[in-house]
Amino acid sequence: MQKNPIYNFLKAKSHTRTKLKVCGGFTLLESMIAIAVFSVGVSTAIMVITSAINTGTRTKNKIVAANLAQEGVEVIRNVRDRNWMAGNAWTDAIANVSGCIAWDTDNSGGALTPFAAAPCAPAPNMAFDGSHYVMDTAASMFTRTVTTVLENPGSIDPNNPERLNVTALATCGAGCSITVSEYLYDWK
Amino acid sequence: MTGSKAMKQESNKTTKQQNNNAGFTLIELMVSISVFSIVVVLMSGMLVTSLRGQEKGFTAQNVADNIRYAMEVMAKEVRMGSAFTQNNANEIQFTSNMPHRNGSPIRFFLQGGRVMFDDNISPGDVVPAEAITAVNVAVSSLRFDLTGTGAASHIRLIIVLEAASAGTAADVATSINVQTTISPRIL
Repeated sequence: MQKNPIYNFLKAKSHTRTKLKVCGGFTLLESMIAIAVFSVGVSTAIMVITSAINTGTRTKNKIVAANLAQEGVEVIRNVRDRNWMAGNAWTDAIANVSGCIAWDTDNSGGALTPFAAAPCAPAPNMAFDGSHYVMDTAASMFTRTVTTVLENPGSIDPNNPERLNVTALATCGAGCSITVSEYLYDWK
Repeated sequence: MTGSKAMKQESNKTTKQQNNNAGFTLIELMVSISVFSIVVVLMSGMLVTSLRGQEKGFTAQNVADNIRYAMEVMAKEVRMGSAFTQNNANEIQFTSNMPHRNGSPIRFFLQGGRVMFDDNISPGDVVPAEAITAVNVAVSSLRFDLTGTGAASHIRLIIVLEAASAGTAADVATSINVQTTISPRIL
C-alpha cells in the first residue's frame, strides 16, 4: 500500500499543506518591499533606455540648430560686408536689432533677408518647407532669434573699439538650444 | 527473518525521507510558472525595446555625424573661397584660398546620394572627387543658393542638405534637413 504512488502523492500533498501553514508565507510588508525593489530596478532600466533613444534624436536636432545659429551670425556679417561694398555705414540696418532672419523669395530671386517681416510674431519659429528653413507662424521644433548690440559706439580707442556683438540663439525643443556669438568690427 | 525486518525498516526510512522532500503541488507549479513567464515576457519585451532603441540611436548618431562633417567641410572651404560659379543647383565651384591648395579650383556636388568633394579640378589633376559622406547615409538633396554676386554686394551662399539613413529598418530610420549660410571672408 505504501508503495502505491497515489498514496505517496496524497500523503505528500497533506504534508506540504501542513508545512505551508507552519511557514506562513510572506507578510504584506515583505511583499511590498520586494515589489518596490523590483519596480525601482525596472523603472531605472526604462529611464535609461528612454534617455538613450532621446539622446540620438537630440544630437540630430542640435546639429540642425547649430547650423541655423551659424546662419544667423553669418547673415549679419554678410550685411556688414555688403554695407562696405555699397559704401554705406558699416552697421547700416544691423545695429541694435533683435528678431528673425527670414527666407524671402522676393529679394533678388531668393535670399535670406535680415529682419524681414519683423517682428517675427507670434514666435520666431523655423520650419522646413521642403526647400528651405523658413519663418513659420505655426509652432515648430526650431526657433531662431538674432540680437545685435553696438558696443562702444563711435569709439576709436584701440583697446575698446566700436564693435557689434552678434548673438544667434537657436532652440531645438524643450531644454535644447544653441547660442552662437561673435564680434564684428569695422576692420577690413 | 532478521534480514527481512532490516529491509522493511530500510524501506520505511526511505518513504519517510521521500515525505520530507514532498515536491510541489500542481497549483504551486502553475502559479510559479505563470509568475516566471510574466517576468520573462516583461524582461524580453524590455530587451527588444532597448535593442531597437539602441539601433535607432546609433542610426541617428551616424546620420548626424556624417552631415555635421559634410556641412563643416563645405562651410570651411566656402569661407576661404572666391570666384564662385554655379553650373546647377546641386553643384558649386570656386577657387580655394586655403594656404595648402595654391589657389586651385575646387568643387562640391551631389552624386549617387553622397556629397562629393573634388579638391582640385584643374585640367592637369587626375585625382577624382571623393565622397565626404558614408554609403549608409543617403543624401537626397544638396542645394546651393548663390546670391550677392554683384559688384556692390557680397556673396552669400545658402547650403541646404536633406539626408536619411540608408539600409535600415523602417522603424529605426532617421532623416535630417540642415540649412546654413556662409559668407566668404575674402571681399
